[in-house]
Amino acid sequence: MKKNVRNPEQTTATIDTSVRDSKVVTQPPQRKTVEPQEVPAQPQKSETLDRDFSVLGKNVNKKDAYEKVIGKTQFAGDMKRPNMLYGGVFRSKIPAGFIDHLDISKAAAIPGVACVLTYKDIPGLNQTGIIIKDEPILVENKIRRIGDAICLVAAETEELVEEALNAIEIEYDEIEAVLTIDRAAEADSPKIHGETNLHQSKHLFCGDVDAAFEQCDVIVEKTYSSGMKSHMFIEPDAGLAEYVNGILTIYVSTQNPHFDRGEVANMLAISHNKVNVIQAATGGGFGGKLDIGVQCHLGLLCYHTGRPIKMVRKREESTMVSSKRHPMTMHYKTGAKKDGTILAMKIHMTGDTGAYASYGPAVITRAVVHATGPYYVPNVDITAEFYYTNNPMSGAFRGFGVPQISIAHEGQMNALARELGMDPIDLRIKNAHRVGTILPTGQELTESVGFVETLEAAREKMNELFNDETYQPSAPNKKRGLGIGCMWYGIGNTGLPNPAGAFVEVLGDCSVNLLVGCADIGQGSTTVMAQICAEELGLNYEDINVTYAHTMVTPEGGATSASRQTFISGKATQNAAYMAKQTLMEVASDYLKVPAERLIFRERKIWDREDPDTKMTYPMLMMEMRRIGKLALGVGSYNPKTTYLSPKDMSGIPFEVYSYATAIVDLEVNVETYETEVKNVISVHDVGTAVNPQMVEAQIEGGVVMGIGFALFEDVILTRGRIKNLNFSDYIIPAAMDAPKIYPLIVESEGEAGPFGAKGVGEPALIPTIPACADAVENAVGIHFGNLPILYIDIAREMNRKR
Amino acid sequence: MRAFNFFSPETVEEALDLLSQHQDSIAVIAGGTDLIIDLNEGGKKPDYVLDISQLKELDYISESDGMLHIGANTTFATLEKNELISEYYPAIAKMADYMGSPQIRELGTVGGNVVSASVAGDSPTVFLAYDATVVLQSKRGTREMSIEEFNVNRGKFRCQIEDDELLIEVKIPQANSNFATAYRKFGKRKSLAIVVLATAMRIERDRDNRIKDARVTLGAVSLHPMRSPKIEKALIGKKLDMEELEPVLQLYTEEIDAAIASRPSVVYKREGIRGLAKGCMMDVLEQYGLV
Repeated sequence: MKKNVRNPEQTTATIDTSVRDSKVVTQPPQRKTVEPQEVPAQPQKSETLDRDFSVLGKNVNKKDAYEKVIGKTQFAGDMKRPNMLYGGVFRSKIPAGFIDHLDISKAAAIPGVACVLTYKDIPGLNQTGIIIKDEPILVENKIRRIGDAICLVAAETEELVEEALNAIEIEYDEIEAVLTIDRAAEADSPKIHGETNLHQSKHLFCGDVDAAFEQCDVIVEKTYSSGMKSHMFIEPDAGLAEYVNGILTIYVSTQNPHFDRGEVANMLAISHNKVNVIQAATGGGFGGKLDIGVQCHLGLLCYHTGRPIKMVRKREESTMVSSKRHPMTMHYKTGAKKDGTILAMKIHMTGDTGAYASYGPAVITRAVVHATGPYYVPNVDITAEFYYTNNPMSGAFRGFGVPQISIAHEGQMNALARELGMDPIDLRIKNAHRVGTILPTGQELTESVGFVETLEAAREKMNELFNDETYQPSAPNKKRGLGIGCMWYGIGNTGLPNPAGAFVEVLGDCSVNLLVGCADIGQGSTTVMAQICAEELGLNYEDINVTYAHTMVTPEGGATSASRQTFISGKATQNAAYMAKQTLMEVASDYLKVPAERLIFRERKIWDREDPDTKMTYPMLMMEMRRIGKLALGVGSYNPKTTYLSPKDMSGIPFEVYSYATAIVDLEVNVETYETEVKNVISVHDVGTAVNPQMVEAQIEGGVVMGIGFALFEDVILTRGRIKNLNFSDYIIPAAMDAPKIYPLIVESEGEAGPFGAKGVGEPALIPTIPACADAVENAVGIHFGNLPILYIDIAREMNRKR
Repeated sequence: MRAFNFFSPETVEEALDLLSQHQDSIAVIAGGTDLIIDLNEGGKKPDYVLDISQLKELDYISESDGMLHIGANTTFATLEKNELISEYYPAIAKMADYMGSPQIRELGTVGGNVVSASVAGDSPTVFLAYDATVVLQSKRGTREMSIEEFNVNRGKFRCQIEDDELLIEVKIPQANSNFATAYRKFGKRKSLAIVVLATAMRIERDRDNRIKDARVTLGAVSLHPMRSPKIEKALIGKKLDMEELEPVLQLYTEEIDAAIASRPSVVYKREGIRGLAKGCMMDVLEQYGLV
């Protein structure tokens, strides 16, 4: 494991604030000529120092843990207000068509029904969407999927809401539903939006693939696919809206409070500061709570009734209308030399974006940029097309397309290793990203590339756990296999600005108010921000109180997505803390008569690094601040150093840093009942600096189990655009008994980017287990499965076909 | 959920009075693991709900008159922990262990599972193998019938229960050392999984360790669990030894093919059934101490 650390005091004292304010470079860099990279004899290691943090790297208790453990946390569904109404949504029951006739009069006449609203009641913009505003808040005429929102109801009780919804009369003019991308692509298919069903297409290329394939000794060509998946966050979408001092205040389970605020305000044609979105405790999201859920509907009902109103989606409604993971098909052609050097990849992928864009543009872009896997490939040609259909809306789901393409790039690596008779880890190390690697986008990796270390750590752990003698199936009717999968993941939005901010005030008693926009959906960002803030200021973790995701008081935090919050909100927090600290440093410098850059702030003390006896306590410093009338205030923001990508070949700098990971899966297949059991998983993640190692491990563990679900359990069953398995009883995710023994390992690679060198692990945690499961099944039973999930029925079918 | 009147009697007599009185629109609730879903989804809209969970007199497991009696109010958690069951009725113990999750086993009752008679339920397949009899009671009297006869749809019910009747108990012939029983199930995960495919068997051996009698049942391949006379016949007379039993596995596949040839799930079930059946055979041999 790579240990590297900079001296935090040095950092804070020498970096100028202007350097800390990142700038978006708007011009893509010149594309460099790419040649096969030379593999260094030894993994690169720069000068390493011992870590010397006082708060960072410590397993402090999560800020929200106590209340959750004793059951006192208030989720939106738990909230109540006097005089509160309940809201519900009348939704389409057909996947495609037009509203022929709608009659709400009977519903509106029911005593106890406060209002029934249609699109006509929207005073502002009847359009929503995170990237492309193509989804109506309430359908005007055209229906694009099962579950499209048509009317809203507010009533005194939940039962009356149900009664009113049942009293709404509708007649449809149904048209052909476009249910496959093949049909969507045809000229004569009905068009879901505008003139074409092609949602987006992308082309990333560098070098000359055709010429390169000529030089290859081995070419592997395969097709992979991945089905639709549902997030199945434990808490269904819920929220409560009310007017507080004339401000429309919405408490909601969300990953995206600042986006929500804008969408609600635009719908009501009021200014953004007249809407206050406060994130309620959120029971998971995984990307499914990035889009607008109940926010706009609550806002509109509250606006029209003036009364507090609550909406809690039922599980079926939540699963039906929240976004889903894009089903994707990926065709890969990979060429290599005899020694394993990869020379070329030609890739074509397609995806079903469903009825609305949601995060589709982010998914296609990220999938294309990551399509090679974490390997140097000098000649690349990647094309992608995503199509609109009348299926459920696809969107963001932990990994934005990278989990899907990891099946393909890792499937190819494992196939190549088999073809070449090479050890799959050696093959990966040979082609691995390193500092200095040039990506197909032209970006040069300059720091924080710990991929090789993850491979080596995984191999070491594997050798420790298993050897040829002990590695045997547990019963004669079982076959056992080890599989490997790797991934890389760019932190933050792809080739787009995505800033976040933070406010800091150090109070007279040395406690701190930290305000960040960042939504904590359980992953622990609040704790991470407090640790970063405490470390930067030289205070204790307990000194920091965090107010988060409260749009009237916290600055923009961007979405809790793209594994970006530790990196971006974390850096913003560090910058804000540093600004406050600058004032503190000036005052301490005058008081101690020591140049500011020589001062160390740590554990509530300040001292001269060259003369530790010249010192003062933090309370003394705050007293001095009061005496001379100064406030310790800080504002910070951070926007990762990226560029827009060229529309021609997608060159540019899509991400400032990348996380890397390797997973090894050990599983057994019962060849008589076709049951698969994952027994052990090693999952090694390069996270830069682990701000809170226990929380990193917890992310990895959760990701491993979700990865097993992706690979071996989960599949949305669609019939004519309708999801058949809306519940936990039939959408099967792994439960506690299915969880394997997990070995989460952390690699800390060296880099200047991010707060104290921290990157992100939220989505990476999920990804490598997926291709590793597929490889392990193949190694156990000797059959290649390119389509995931690999279910018992697939194994039964293929094993008996083989015989 | 629609409003309803709720009764929670403490004696069977009271319960039967209420059932008789409100039989046009009453639903019986024990653990509620099935009914609550129906009420929430609007599948059932009764005016009255009769809670029988307080009928302590129906919570028992006992052997008498050559039979094992299981009261309808016995939960799966009770079954799971009962020593008589784990010692002498291994297929019932296994069924209780496979069933749902710890929380569901604490609430779910044998009576509820038998009356729900779900295609994907655990108990019907097992009780059919055990040659179970159900005891039904109403104000009109008491009647008994074999579980095979009971598991025939009648109106809104997936069994023969009448609107004013309560299931009192399930009884099965008492175990003896010549009996061995087994149950194997495949669900989509290790817990909290309904039955995708299941099979159970009760074997009776003779003095030469040959199969004297066999009852074999298949679950989740038709509306109700079914017996397979074909497999039973093939088993009778066979020596209790894996090599001799193994050829019978092919008949399981044939039975599945015959039952659900056109279903997409046949792809799995025709193959997986042999694995489950072989597991049952191994359990049986183990119980006889023959492995």
